[in-house]
Amino acid sequence: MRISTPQFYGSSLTGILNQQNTLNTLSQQLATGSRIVNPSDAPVAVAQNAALNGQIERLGTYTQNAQYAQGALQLESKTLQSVGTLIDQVRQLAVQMNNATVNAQDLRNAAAAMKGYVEQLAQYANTQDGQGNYIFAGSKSDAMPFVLEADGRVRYLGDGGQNQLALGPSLSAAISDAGDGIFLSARAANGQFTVSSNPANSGSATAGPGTVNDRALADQLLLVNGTQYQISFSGSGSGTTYTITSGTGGVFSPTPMASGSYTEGMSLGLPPGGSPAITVPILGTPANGDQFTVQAAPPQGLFETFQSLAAALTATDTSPGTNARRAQAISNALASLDQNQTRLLDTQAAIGARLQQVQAVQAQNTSLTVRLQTEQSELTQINYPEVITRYQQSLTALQAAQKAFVQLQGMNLFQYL
Amino acid sequence: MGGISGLVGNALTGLQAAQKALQVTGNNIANVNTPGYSRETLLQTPQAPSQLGGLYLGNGVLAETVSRSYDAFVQGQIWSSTASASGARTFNDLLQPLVGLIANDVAGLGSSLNRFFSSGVAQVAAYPADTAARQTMLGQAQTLAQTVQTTASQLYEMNDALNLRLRQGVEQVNELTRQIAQLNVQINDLSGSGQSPNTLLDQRDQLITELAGQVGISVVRQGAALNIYTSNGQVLVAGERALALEAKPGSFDPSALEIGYVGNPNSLSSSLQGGVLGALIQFREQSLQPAQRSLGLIATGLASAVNAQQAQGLDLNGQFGGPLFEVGPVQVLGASSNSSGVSISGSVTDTSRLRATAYELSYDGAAWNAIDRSTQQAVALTVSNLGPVTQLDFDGVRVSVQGAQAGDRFQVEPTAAAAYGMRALMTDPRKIAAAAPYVSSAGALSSGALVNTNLGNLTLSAGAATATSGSVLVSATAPQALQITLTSGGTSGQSIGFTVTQPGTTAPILATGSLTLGSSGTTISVPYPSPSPGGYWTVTLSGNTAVSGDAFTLSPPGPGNGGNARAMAALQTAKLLDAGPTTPARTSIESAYAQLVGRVASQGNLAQNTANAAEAVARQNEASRQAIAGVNLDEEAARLIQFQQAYQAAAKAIQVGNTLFASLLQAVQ
Repeated sequence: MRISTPQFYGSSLTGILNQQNTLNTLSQQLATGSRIVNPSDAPVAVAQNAALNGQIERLGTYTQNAQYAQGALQLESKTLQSVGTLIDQVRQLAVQMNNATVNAQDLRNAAAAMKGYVEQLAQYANTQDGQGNYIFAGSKSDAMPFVLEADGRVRYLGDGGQNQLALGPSLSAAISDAGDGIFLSARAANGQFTVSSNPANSGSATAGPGTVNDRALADQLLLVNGTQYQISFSGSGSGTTYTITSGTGGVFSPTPMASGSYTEGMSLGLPPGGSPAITVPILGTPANGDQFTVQAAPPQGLFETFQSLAAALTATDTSPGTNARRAQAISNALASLDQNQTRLLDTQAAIGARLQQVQAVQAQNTSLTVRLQTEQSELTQINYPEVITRYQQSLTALQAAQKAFVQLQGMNLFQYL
Repeated sequence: MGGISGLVGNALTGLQAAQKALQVTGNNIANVNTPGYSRETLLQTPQAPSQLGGLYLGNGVLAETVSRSYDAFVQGQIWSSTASASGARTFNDLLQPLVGLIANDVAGLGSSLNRFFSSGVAQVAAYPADTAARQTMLGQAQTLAQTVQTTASQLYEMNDALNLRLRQGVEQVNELTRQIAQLNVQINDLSGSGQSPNTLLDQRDQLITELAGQVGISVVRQGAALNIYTSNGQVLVAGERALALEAKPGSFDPSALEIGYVGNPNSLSSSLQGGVLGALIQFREQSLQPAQRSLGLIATGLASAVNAQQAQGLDLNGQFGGPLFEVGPVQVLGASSNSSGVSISGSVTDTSRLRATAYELSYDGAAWNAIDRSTQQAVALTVSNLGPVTQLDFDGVRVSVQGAQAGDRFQVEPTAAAAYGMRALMTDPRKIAAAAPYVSSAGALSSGALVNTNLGNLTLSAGAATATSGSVLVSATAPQALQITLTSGGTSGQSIGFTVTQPGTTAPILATGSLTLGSSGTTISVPYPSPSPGGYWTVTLSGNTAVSGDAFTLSPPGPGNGGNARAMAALQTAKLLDAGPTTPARTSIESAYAQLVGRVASQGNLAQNTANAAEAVARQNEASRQAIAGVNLDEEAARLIQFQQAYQAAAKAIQVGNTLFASLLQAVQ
């Protein structure tokens, strides 16, 4: 083919420029470490990279959330442990006071100690996290949830909300528990029913806490129907007889359901008959006219349990009736403490499960992040040896093209004219 | 003529021919770098001999004509490959900045989008009470809106630059066609002599090559003139007449210039292919406008989803959240030929059904028709006549029109202007609606405190926003506090009743319902305020032992609730776009962005490859032309020597003739 002079210069120049272009791209790749200097060179990688960036960033958020969730759950768990210790202290005190030998001074000291325990409990229940949020306030994290009133009662100003954190695309974990569930909602006594003594009781008898024989029947009678039973005693000594009546709302039918002679330590089945739903044991000697009322256990949280115990310790005279009533109240309180302790342990177990879930998710997120980052670097990062080799190659080619051009353009017939 | 004078005469013709040949060679050397120049050669033929004494004696040489080395086929190839190469190169040059703009992953849209969700919304979901987190989210929202807006405004600037280039291109085309027509005249005039006006022919060919660089053409020879048409047959040059083009505002969108004949309203834009003009039109239609629309679709989808989520939650003031983002409106552009007195406006009715395209609406006096401009397919319209106003619903858009006459046409751009109009509206961090409208609690509210005396084991679920009402609809609106009180008790399998009232009251009863104990529960729905956002907050009451009087409370949450922010964070991957008439949405905001990036980048890849291929073809053709018509200086140097020696030989011959004469004259002295 005939080569014209402009053609020779033009094509030599094009060759050199192309090599320079390649070198420029390669040197940019070497400088940035990125394969995608120009998105048009790797459209698929660019689109995948855009999606990967989103995923990696989201995983970062989930990991951060998981760390925060761990902190929050650990704080909650630690606080509840302290509450558990407090319950143990209160139980010890209650057991000590549930003794016929205690004197008035002991009782006064114990009542004072109880006041301190209540305040301590309030402090635990009003625990704040690092940001100043009340952790047991439900969603109302900015206001102190448990307020002790002058009368010793506690008002809960939080709500039932459980704050959640997203741990994955479709997974979120609760990072708090509402305080009313933990501190206010455990059921009193044995969790099913309470046996309370009439304030006018003068005998030494105590009743309960008792057991449930037929859960469904007990629920139906005590909870749904609201049935209450009254056990009344009359007579004295070996002639003591009991009468069981039933009613609702504190009004009892005049017609007895059952009656019989009382022997100490006997258990009464309620309702009387062949298959009682619950059994109430009675200890001690009732006086004529003493009464016990059996009804569904109302919610009696830790605060109320502490209060009832404190109230029981305020009656400091040591008459048999007072002693018996105190013993009854303490026995009820102890049962109630057990209920609250159980509630606490359940919550702890739930927190533990959530912590485990958070840790599992976090481990998973971490390994997924590593995998995605590897994928991303495979997509977008250059392979240095390969690029350096290509760079060297292009450099040699450019030098060769330049050298050839210089030599060829010197070959000119006009030089010889 | 014979004898010595024959010798001298013949040598003289040789001398003159060598001189002319040297002149031609000199011209070739001078024009070695002239674009479009075709190498010339002197065509020499022997003069007719004369018969003298029975002999035919030659009469020297005749410099017949100067011809150019030219191949019409190769020239035609050059024209067509110049149009493709210039078009492909221009398209690629226009596209690469767009690719960089859309696919930039450091400061671009993708990272703003990620940061808005990851370090904005997700942080508020984690720390809803934290003002700093809220402030950060607002900052990220600002950045995101600004990035979208800046990207869109850069697209607009690209369109402005494109319009400028269109005008320049049209001017160049007009100038070139005018010169070509003039040359047609001159060449026609000069061709009568039998000699070809090589320089003018070269000039005309070169002008046509330049014209082909501006727009794809076809060339038809008619006598000595060349007629020039656009690739699909519109006349640009007819003999001695050039038809001028002009760039004028589009019939719908004045900012999209169209090309047409001067004084003729019809547009030729779609018939221009190849060359700079063809590439400009192609870039606008295939890359720029689709990118604008896709970006707008992402902006609209994001804004409407975030705003709707805002409206479903409560801010720190206990109010439903206001919109966080604003985007540009649906554009409805009337044709310049439309009747006066027609008023038309458009709005988005369903973001999930929006498509990144433009529509053309036309009215024939009785019926409306809609065509999707990108597919040219008819679009199903739902027409409702509301008095004087006609509502046209299609693909998630509603157009309201009044006073249309037969022949009126409109272009509807649902998303093209959305991204440019994107703004973040919120400045008060308290107004981020991070909280769900309700928290479910067991127990009843009593003078501000929650008192739980429930004996049964029923629970009220945390609840969720739903589009449809559950089995019990409360006649109140969220976030009014409500109390659910059981009116009867029972155990598993039994049915109990409940009432919904305001907390602490027994009347008025806002709803009553029943629950089968032990079942999956009864759903209770509280409507959101109408009209916006609509929907219900639905909770489920369930359990198996109920006691009459047990109560549950639905109350607006405190600052610690991040339920709505969590739902907002999930919008990043929620499928929000691309719904069909009956199919649900298929594409998330994130993948819509990745798709846009992928599409633009692969367009860029294709354009690069096309440009390289087209340039290789153009280079190949130019090489073919150069092989025939290009000047080679070595060759010319050889010719110089050749003709110089011919000249010297002819001169020598004259000298010999002279000597002969002299000897003769001496002999007769």
